[in-house]
Amino acid sequence: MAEQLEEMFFFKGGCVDLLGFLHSPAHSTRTTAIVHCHPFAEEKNCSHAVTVKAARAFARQGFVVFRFDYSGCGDSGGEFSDFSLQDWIEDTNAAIAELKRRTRSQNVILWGTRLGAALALACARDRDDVAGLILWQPSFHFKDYIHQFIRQKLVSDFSNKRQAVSLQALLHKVASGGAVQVYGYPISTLLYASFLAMDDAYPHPETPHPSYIATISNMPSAPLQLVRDSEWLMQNPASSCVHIVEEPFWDRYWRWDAVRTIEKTQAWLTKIQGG
Amino acid sequence: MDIETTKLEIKNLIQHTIDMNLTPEKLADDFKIAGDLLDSMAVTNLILALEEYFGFTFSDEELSLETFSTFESLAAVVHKKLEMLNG
Repeated sequence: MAEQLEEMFFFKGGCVDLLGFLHSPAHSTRTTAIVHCHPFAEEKNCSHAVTVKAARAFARQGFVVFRFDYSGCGDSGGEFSDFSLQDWIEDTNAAIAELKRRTRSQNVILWGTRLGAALALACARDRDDVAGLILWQPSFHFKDYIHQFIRQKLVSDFSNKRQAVSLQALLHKVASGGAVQVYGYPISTLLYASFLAMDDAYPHPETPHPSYIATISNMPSAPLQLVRDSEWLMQNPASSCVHIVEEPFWDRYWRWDAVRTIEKTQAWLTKIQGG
Repeated sequence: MDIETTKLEIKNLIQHTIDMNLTPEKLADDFKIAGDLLDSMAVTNLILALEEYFGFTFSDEELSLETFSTFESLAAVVHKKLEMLNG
């Protein structure tokens, strides 16, 4: 195994101080680094072990890998309910700036899981230093994502034999100034509105970045809608969309590995960035 | 598709989306699904899997303990929705 250094620190984000974690190969000539955009709410915690394993695997390939927590998430400053998706995109820009300040990296590959993949796409649209995108089980539609997330409150209530409030009533509440708690995460009006605003700005650059889109499940084939949503990214000849038969790791606590997903992503990185 | 086939498809989906160890043979028709066999996160995953697999969306009213009580009750709702979808 190639030697690598791991360093944790705080840096100035778009709004508050953010926790950053840098994986640096001891010897590498690469000038393209990888920046991770983490998924939303509990999916961040569930996927943490796999994220760290993947970051270490990419660092063994000679890539500097930078992980960070968004404002109000993990160990970063602020409260979850005080921020919007736009703030988290600004955090991603700040993370790239911090990475460049600390290393000799010139370009970045943005790597995101679930909602993090959508944030990576949104961030890449306005930058000229993005060399590629790694999108694991991306959630491309912000509005659909937050509605499905809030729907979990209804499912949690009836599953646990509590009086359930309809989804429409929950959406009305969050749209009109009241927060809705879903698995302990307060969805504020500010955060909810930012999801609706982002759906209108669904990113479709004329020339998509080289992208690795991985759909991951135990089902024999990929969800059709996700494949359809990925078609525009496949216009780039270096893009690849694959279905990996492996148990999901972002929505369950007992999955601490994703061997096939990591290995296949490494193979794509070698293909577009060299060995 | 008859209701027994629908039931089997739901059990297959549970195995492939929730837990590979939950094979259809292990899942009796009268097992309690919500709040017993599956916790709320797993029920959420099952709902998303059913919607994706069958190509429909559950209404607010259908998302209830009555629907997700047993395989019998869930299969009845899914079967009715598929009949409406396919005319």
